[in-house]
Amino acid sequence: MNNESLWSAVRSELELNLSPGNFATWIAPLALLSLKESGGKSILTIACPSVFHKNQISERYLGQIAAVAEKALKKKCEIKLAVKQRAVKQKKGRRGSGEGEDLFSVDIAKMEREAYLEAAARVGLSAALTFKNFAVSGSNEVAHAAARTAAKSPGQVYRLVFVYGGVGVGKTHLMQAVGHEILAKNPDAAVVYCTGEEFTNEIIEAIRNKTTANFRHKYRQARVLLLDDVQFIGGKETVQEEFFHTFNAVHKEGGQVVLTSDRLPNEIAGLEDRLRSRFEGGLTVDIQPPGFELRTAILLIKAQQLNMELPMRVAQVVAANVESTRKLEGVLLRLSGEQVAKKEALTEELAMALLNKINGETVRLKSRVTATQVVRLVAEYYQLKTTDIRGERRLKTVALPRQVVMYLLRKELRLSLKEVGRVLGGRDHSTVLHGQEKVSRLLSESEDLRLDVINIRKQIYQNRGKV
Amino acid sequence: MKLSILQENLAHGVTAVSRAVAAKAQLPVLANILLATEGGKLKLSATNLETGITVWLNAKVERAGKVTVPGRVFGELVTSLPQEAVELTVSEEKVQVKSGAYRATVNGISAEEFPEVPTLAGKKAAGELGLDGAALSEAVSLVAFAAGTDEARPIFTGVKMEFSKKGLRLAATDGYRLSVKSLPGSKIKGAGKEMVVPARALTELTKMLKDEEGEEVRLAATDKEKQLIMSLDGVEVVTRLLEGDFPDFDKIVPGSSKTKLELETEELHQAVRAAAIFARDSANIVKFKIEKDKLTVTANAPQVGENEIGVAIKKTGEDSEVAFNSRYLLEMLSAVTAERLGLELSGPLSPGMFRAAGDDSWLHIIMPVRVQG
Repeated sequence: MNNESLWSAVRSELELNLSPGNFATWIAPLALLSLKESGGKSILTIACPSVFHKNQISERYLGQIAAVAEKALKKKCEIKLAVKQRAVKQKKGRRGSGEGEDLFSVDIAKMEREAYLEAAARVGLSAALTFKNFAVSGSNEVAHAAARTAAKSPGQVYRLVFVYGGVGVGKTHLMQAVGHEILAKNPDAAVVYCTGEEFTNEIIEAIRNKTTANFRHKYRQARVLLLDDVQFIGGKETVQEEFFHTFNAVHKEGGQVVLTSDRLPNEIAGLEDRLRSRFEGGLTVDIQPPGFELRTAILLIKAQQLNMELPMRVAQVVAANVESTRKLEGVLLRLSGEQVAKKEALTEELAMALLNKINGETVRLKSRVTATQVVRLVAEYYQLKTTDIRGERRLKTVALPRQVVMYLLRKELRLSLKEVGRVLGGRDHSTVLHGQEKVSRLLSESEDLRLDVINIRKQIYQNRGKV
Repeated sequence: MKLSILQENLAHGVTAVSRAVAAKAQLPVLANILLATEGGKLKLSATNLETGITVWLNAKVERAGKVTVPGRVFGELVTSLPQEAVELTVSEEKVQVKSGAYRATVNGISAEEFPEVPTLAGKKAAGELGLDGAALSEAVSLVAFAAGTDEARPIFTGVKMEFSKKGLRLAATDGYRLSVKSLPGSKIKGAGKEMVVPARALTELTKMLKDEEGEEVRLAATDKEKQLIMSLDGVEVVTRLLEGDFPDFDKIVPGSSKTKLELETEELHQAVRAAAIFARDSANIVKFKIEKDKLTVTANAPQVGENEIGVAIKKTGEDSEVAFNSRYLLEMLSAVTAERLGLELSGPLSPGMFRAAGDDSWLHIIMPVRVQG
């Protein structure tokens, strides 16, 4: 007979003998702590919840308990009493609303993180579009600084930040990063994020469902208004009207507004004057398309997000050959797919092959070849000295190779006319333009020149590692 | 048993022990008060098996004896008697009450049924600790209300008493708020001793203090029986000590905070009271918005309405927003006696810490309520 069954037998027996009140008060709260054998006797230690119970049991019920236990065990029994409260199992789980989290079980950092993620999802921000994942270089540093300031002290320094720039330069990223930053600090901040198109659709929907009051409440209570692709509202009268009031409401409360557009306010077709003047009253910053270095940095950041290992050289090859940041991500995803499928490390060759497939043309390694190297390769090809190419002589044997250099530098390295001129010993940009155009024309006429250029090109790319 | 006693004394004693009468007794005798003669005095005892209260009253005892009488009936009867001598005569578990022209007979239960309430009977116990009554009373009033009432978490229904060389520290929490009060004093003995006393027992004890200067409360704990006897002059409160691990509250006291402010206690109390009217219908949520030199207290209930009260503050640090349960705020504000309060915050999710301005001996932490929007 184990302790539990012994005790329940004793209890049941006592329950029959005692009045319900006495049983419930004195016996029910007891528990059997231990059962030991000693000197032919069983020693039962019983836990009493309080000293009152202990005194009462020892005075009145000890004999009865012993007698019942003896009957059950068929052995002489001795009862000992101890004061011990029964451990109560802690109930886990959340309390009803109005109750906070438990002070002692709460992990503030985790809660803050959760609240922030929840808020970001509620507002509709993409998790990845944060400042942390935003690479900064010359083409976007002003916009970045402005966004940082807006996020740090919303509505205090720049009440309106107007970001404009082409496709895929990071306008949306920057704007959402502002939202993320503010929500990370205060998950309850009234942040509203939407695109110009969503804004328009919501108004139409609200008008159709006669719920414009809800719509207004949602937008006008905002303290941080993030509107993406604001150019979309151009030419839409009611939408602009509604936006004008929303904008004013947010401004009046000292809120922060961030707008993005693919063009300047004065270039947005059909934008009302009162809106234009308001937009122009804010801080207008532009983002230029990212340069090679920034694209490389973006690739490395994105690779980290995808948890893939991207060697620097591969990143450079991709960055050199893909200009659009959107496409960068696509290429990266395919690279990661290839890597997984083929189970081999990412190499430049693999990247090149993929880029070839995507672009359907010979992949150039613009970044890997310097202008000086091109000059040298051309000089070597035509068995000239580089000084000849850079020099002043206008002999046909020198002038044509020089023009080939101009052509290659323009087409392959995409240098500007001025830069090419500088590389070639300070020539005028019109000279460079003339040279480039001449070669272009000759290429379709002269098979010799075409072969020359193809061979030089091949050398440029083959030698890229060595030169 | 036969004795006579002044109505005033008897009424005082009955009221005192009635606090320990079990509210919902499964055993009828636990709803009773024990009347017994002891050492030429009348002893009254009551217990709910967690706490017991015993008082000794001066009386003229003619014949010794003991009996128990229903606490509520006897209490009401005694308080309605004229202020004269009361004569109690017991015969066969019936108590005859005679006072002037008043006559009553109360049916009692044999004293044999009544559980023994442990007492020191005026004797000193080994390891007894003495505390100043007024100081203890103040500390208990600042701390005990924060204890929980949820019997599923028994340790939270207690007040932790920590004796150290620096003095005594009392702490209570229900998991959502925490109150800590230190009583510095080198005279306090028992360094290293710790116990968790049911908050109710401590509160009852302080209610029996006479508010006299130099009044002493003596504490005698027995570890083996896990009980504590707290005695005053002629009164003893015995209670069981709570077992279990009291949470380590020092680690949740914020070390630094982003926003600190100071304000008038009464002004905040009024503001929260007003806000609570609307908070009642929306989970008691009262919002604090701290901006520049103003604390705006707001509450709203979609069906009822909303209100907003401004309170002047002195602030250092960031602006902030936080929401609390109004019940917690009100209980804290009713307990605190300091004229000015300090509040430290670190964002809407971190606990808010209240302190009496210029007094580091008390602190109160409340877990905020999370609200959206």
